[in-house]
Amino acid sequence: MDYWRTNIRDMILDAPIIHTAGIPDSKITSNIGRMRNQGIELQINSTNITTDEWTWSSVFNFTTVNNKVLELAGDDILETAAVIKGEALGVWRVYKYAGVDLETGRAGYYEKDGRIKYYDPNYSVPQGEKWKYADGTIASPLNADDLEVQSGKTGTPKWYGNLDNTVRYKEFDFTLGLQFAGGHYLLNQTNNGLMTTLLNNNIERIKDRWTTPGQETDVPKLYHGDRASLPANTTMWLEKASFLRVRDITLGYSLPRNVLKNINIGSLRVYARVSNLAVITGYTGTDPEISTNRNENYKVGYDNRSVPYPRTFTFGINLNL
Amino acid sequence: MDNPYYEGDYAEEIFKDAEKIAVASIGLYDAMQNAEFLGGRAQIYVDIRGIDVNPPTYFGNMSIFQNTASDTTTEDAWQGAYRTIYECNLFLEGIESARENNVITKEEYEFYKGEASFIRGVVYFYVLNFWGQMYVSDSDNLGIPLITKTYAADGPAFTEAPQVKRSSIEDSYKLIEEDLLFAEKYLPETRSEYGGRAVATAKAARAMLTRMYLYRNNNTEVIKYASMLTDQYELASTTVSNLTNPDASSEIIFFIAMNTSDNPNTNNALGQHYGYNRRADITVAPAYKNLFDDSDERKSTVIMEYEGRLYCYKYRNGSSDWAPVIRYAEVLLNHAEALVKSTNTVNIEAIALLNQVHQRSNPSKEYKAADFANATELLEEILVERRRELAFEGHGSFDLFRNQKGIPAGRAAQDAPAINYPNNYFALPIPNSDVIKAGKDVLVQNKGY
Repeated sequence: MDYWRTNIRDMILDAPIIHTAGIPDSKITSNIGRMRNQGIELQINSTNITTDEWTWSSVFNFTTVNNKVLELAGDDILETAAVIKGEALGVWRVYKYAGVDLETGRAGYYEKDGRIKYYDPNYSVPQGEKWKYADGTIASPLNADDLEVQSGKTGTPKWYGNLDNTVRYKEFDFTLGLQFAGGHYLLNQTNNGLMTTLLNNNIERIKDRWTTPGQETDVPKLYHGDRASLPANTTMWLEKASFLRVRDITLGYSLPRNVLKNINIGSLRVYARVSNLAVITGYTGTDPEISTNRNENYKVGYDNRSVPYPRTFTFGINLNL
Repeated sequence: MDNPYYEGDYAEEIFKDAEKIAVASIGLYDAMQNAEFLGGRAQIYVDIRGIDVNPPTYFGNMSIFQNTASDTTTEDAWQGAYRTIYECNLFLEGIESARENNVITKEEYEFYKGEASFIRGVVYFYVLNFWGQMYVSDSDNLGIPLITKTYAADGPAFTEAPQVKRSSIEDSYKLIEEDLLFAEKYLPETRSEYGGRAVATAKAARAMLTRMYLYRNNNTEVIKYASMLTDQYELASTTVSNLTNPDASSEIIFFIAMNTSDNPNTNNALGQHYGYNRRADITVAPAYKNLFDDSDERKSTVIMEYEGRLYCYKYRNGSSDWAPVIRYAEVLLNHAEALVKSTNTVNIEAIALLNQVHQRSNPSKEYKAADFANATELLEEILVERRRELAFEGHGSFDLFRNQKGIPAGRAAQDAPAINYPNNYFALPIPNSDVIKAGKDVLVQNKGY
């Protein structure tokens, strides 16, 4: 078991620059920070059973990662996945969803001081009057002041590991490999994109929409063309993504020595393997180990129309002559 | 379509060599093709916020005046515009040093400066009309941040220097006017590249000045510059031939050229968004058809019906349609409008100009002075002719707002109220990300956001 600690200096980050400066992509890749990772690493190898016919061995490894941005040369990078001094890299910074008003079916969001403002998508309500508090007074539209840093929540797992068990019985070998990771949160923008009222496809969840006063649900009343009730960067789409994956299961059979001698072959093994047989997770997206952002190196954990890991079946022969 | 990212040492190399400078100047037009702004989106946004197009569901909240300061649509447009402006500024700085070091002659310097100034002036004009608080209530007179220099990536970009405050509307227009007047004075009358239709010329600058002064209600100047352009161009045989065959058009003054390998592509090109058999994001409002007499050939060429819906039929080439900026028909209508507004009469010359445009498409109908009881009626007909002629080319909502008109009720939905002039939401929001980066009170957000 090890305790490890890595200090990273001159961290290369894409420093965002004001758009009016006109710089391509409005960002400059530069050395602008210091970061620290620390944690423990544990590895256990054990041979549990050894007999003439049976062996069973296990390998277990486990790592924890605690990440913190120590210093930035400039200002904090305040985006949906933010780089803020004192927080983990890519900490989520989103609007805090307050659910749906029981009486009206409107979506509500928290302001910094804890007050909730609700959005009225009705087309007869003029712009400037669409956001209101519960008492009916007019509130400011959802803006940057309302974004909340979700301290401790990032797209990067805080712990991960593997547990592999191998059993041998005579000529058969069987391995079960489990992988687990967790402590990370993904922003499920795929779901957000499938919950619109823009005549695109929808997921089943949209059937939970509010329809009658007093109904408790987190999907607001639907209005065609409503683009403001459920923005993408809110806690509604931020989901814990800890998972256990059956990484692979392999079954193999090796020809016994006496047979090999007769056919003059060194060794022959046939095997079948399933990779990614199943994932157990609370995450509702396609896969809890996803990050579709390709543009910035600190924006980990966006799930936007991601393609999950496939389940693959492999059959093979190992042959030594 | 990669913008050449030349900076620092590399830029120095370019501006030491006259041949390289000539090639770099073409990069300015490449910058103008910016997919998020004048390459198509800017023109689209003006029309989808107008009344001749049904509010599309693509483009976020843009079409129903429900933009928020965190919309990416608005942010991308803002970023795209200032990218183009940056390229102009970078070039302008480069030719300054090239002139100082005698790499180029005085005449060459003025020519290049004219090109960059023309492009910068045009882009700033659209930026000001989108984000300036010109059509809002108790106007605080806020224009746009006027950036006229570049900030190097190795230092200055990170300081407070690029966090430029918004200038007033007057000052913003002053810069646009200066840029266009410089271009008008120092660019050649015509040029041979791209048929002279896709490069900056003195005539193109004059044409843009007529529009700029019209928006500013300076009708004397409109008439002055429009008169200089009389008979300098010829109306094409049909309205639609300008866009279906831009290389050959006699009417185009300045469009942004595209081709099959250099264009804003599937998600940003005009032909893709408007094309009935492409993305078909945008449909035409049914009432638009009623603006035309049955004998008007535009009724069947500029719009077309497909599966029960009305579509714009001006852009037929998918991704490679040129992006319109200004053509002769508009100059004639600018001229006509300025004449009526300045004389406040049923002006005969204005009627003649109106007929020039109208009879190109509908020869059997000739407007006469007797058709109009007063100047207002003539002005209204000229504005309708603008919609007939220039729809889907980036004029719709701007023409409404600058004439103190708002959006009628029932547009976004049956029970949608009218959005009367003046209204805070006629101006787009400054993107939140810039408001935050600029530090407290530097970039003041538009009212209502």
